[in-house]
Amino acid sequence: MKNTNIDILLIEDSPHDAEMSLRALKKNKIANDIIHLTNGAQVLNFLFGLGEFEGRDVDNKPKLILLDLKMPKIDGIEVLQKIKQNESTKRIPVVVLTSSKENPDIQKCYDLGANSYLVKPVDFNSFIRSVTDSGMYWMLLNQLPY
Amino acid sequence: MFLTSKHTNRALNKLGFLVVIVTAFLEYISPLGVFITWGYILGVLLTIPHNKKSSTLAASLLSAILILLSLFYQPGEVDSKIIVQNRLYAIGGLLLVTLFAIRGISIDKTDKNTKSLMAGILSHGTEAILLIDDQYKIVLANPFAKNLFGYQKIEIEGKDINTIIQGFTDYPFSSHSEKINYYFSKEEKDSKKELLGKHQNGSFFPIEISFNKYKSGGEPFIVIFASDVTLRKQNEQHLKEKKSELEVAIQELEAFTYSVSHDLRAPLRAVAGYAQMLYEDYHDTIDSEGKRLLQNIQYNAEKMGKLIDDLLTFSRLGKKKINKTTVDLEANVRQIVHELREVTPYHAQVVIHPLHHVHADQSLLNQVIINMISNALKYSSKKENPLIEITSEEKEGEIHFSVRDNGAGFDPNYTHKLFGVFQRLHTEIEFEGTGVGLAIAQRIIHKHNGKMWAEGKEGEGATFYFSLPYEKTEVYQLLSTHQTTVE
Repeated sequence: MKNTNIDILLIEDSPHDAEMSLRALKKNKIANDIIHLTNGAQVLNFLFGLGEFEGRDVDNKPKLILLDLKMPKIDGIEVLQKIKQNESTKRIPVVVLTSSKENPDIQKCYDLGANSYLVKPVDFNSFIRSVTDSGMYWMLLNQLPY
Repeated sequence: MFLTSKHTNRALNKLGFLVVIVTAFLEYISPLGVFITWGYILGVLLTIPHNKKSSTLAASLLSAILILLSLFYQPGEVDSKIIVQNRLYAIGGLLLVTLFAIRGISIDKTDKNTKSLMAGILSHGTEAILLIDDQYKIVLANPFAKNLFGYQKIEIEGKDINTIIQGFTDYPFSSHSEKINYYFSKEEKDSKKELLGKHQNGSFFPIEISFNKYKSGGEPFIVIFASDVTLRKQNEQHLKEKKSELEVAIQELEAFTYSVSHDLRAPLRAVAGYAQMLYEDYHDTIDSEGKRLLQNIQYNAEKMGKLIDDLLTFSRLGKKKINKTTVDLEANVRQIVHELREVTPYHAQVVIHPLHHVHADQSLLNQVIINMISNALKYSSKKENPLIEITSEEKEGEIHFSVRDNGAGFDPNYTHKLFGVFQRLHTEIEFEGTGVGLAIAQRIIHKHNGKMWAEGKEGEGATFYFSLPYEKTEVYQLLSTHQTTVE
């Protein structure tokens, strides 16, 4: 594992959505070091240095977590809960991404301490714009606590 | 009256007449026999069981004539004064007996008529009728009741009411008869109770009972009317089951619509996205035909996105609760026309006549109005002088709102297709659209208990209407000070 600072941790099980997000973030020079993970278990292992990520320097925290809610096995809500309950990870800004505004989880996410809640627009260009804008805000404008 | 057999009564009647004649004969032989006169009275009395006024009157009249006739036959050695006296006593007695007898007969007849009428009602009723005493013992039951509870061959009379109606005495009576009066409130008498009937074979069935009490000869009785409600109960149960099945089906359908539209969005975004990426990354190597094809892919992906959004809106409406307030149609319409001008490229002249206030869900109703006006703008856009007129009027207890345009119109033969989901009367090239807008509008109006309809002619414009029920609690005012506005 590289020891350089991680900019963004993208948690997204759809490879195509991930590809589009990564492309937008990189193309607009918002982040260089983006780590893409595809399921909840992987994320928890990564953040707490367990399993396949054993030995990883857990103090090397991402500046932003983009979290997709809909994932198999351990879903986004559970991941969010674990992140926000743990003393070492609770201050990492988490932007929740979801496919629909109909989702009844929005309140739950805020209750669990999500820093932002974004609905992925259907339209490709809007999608790119919202990922870019949100990355821009959290990476460049927002002041991190650490 | 005295004896029950008709035959005997008729024989007695005849005997009465015979006694009268025999008495007259005895009197002829022995005119001084005072007690013989009583024979006439006996004769008249004997006709009473026959229960016919005419018969008793005839016997009495015959006796009187015979007595009078006997006055003309007077043996010389007898004191005629005594004879006349005897005969007058006899006639007086006869008169009294006859009067009483006739009166008795008429009372008895009325009683008998009432009784047979009652018996007729009881035996022909299609409801079980039971009469119970203050000890809850069955005193009387009509054939229908016997049939219902299975007591055709077994005596039902004398049984406790609880043996055929489960828990009858638990409610609303106390076991103490004195309390019957107390527990019989008016509401209880009038209301119907559902209890379980117990058939003689041991089976239970639902019955509905109503009851009333009355007193006869100082004794309290309760009349119970009971009907079998098994069928009604079954129907109710059946309806209940169907209703919950339907609710489950609707829920499933909504969940299905939701997940379909939801899950369709992601791959759609990918289709449009990859086409865009291809265009961006290989811009230099793709020729103009290749670029046209890519644009078509993007256009269709976008269009499908709109369809899915509309479909979602449509399916969401089913769940949406209506929140009615007083809506100023005119203010809303002016606002909508103003906003549509900003977002659409169309430039029709819009005439807004004075409009009513209605009672409706403002945001939902605005969706309908936006749909109607944007349709009018769209379909009139190809005319040289596009004109849209918006009016409302009060008609047959309803408010009718209409939007008229001088645009493309439609073939009236296809009016029924206007409000269907994904139904369009124009091609995409002529006028763009998903064909869901009017279906959504109609659904909203239906939720307000209103109607939506349209009139039109191909090439000559169309008028779309909706009606909303007039609600008297609201003041629907047509503000006469308002001028027709042209936008």
